[in-house]
Amino acid sequence: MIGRLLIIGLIVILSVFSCKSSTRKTAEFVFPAADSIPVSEAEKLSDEAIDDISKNMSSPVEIADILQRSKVPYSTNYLASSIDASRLSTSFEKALKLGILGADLGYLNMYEKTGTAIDVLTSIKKLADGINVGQFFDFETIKRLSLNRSNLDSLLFISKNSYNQIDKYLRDKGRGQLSALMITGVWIEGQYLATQVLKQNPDTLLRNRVGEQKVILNDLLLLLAPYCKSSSQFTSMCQNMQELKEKYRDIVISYTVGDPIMVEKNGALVVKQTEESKVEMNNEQLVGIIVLSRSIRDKLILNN
Amino acid sequence: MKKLIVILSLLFIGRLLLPGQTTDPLVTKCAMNSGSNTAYLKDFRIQLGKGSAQNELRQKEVFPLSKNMRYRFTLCNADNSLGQLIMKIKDSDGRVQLSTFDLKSGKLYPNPNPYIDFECQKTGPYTLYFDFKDFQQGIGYGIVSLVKSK
Repeated sequence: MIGRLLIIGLIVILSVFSCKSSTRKTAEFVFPAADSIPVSEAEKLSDEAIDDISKNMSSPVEIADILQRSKVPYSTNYLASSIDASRLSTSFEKALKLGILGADLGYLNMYEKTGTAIDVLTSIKKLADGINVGQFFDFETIKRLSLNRSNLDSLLFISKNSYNQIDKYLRDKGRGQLSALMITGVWIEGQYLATQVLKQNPDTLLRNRVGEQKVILNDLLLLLAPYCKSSSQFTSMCQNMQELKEKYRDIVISYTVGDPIMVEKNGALVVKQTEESKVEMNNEQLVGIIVLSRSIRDKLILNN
Repeated sequence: MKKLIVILSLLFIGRLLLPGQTTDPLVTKCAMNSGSNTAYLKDFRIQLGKGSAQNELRQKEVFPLSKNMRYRFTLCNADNSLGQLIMKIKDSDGRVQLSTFDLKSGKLYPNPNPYIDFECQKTGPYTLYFDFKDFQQGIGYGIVSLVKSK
């Protein structure tokens, strides 16, 4: 009874928010005027800004959820199975591939392919040890959880939590370039997964998700900018990402303003957003993104 | 409950094997409170001392949310926290999209569920503001999970 009264109370509170603005306005996302942010400017980004940007990368778990919603079958073809963790020598390669395999792990876990996940986990462990962050990866626990499907929730939690801890540790210890690489790896693999599935299974939800990456890519480039001239590998990767940015340049993402509404569903409180983002992307633009996303990802995983 | 015992046991064993591993049992417990059919995405640790009354909640975190996704925000306090953990979410334009409390009336989001769901329709970065009720001191976690569609 008390819970119900509180729900009603909150609905009233949110109704007050709703009264503040009844008009619906629109806005658009555009890349900054300059083609790229000068390194000197990027280096001036505060730690807090970098922290915010690095947190602003969506998870491949969400892409896997869209795939399941669209009834896209699981396929090993989307995995970066050519990565041989024992052959990688530089921190650049290890951190980047740690991100790529992390995205694959999310995909495998969401499809409950816990058996295959163990192989990926073995590589992940090697890579994490290789950049001295293996202590955050509770490999034995994850491996045990992988052996039983009923532990899936726990498995998802621990594996994702390990990545979050590694990322935070790297940034706290001034190894931001490795954190940026790991985040880039996760993003590239997620982008590859989404675009290649889209090629085979046209789906509006997934198509919009690919288009929305314009916003994320902009942030990713900000995160990478301070390191783009630090090595030839970084320079090459940054150039590739800039090319991808060009493919996204004319895609229009508009926003409509609205006020949230609250509803009760099965005794739980749910806030429904009425603000909306909308993607306008034609087929030619999409094909360009699909082709280049694959090219960048393949170049990175084949370059062992 | 059984799930919680299993995961805490496994975490304990894992800690013995790998002493460097640093998962806080509170975050594990909190993640398990998110209910079934959810996928954990991120946790935010909130540790604050007693503060004076102010207009904005004290801890700020940025997190991306995507259109057509349903997210679950689970809030948990450590036992020795003096106030209940509260949260507010603003979009990139600073518009409040969700609030688990009302500062004026003191009302909090409903129990017994420790979570609140958010159906997102606009992709972008959101700012999550956390504090303890009445700006009290406390330790807690805010967990973001994806409510799975399957």
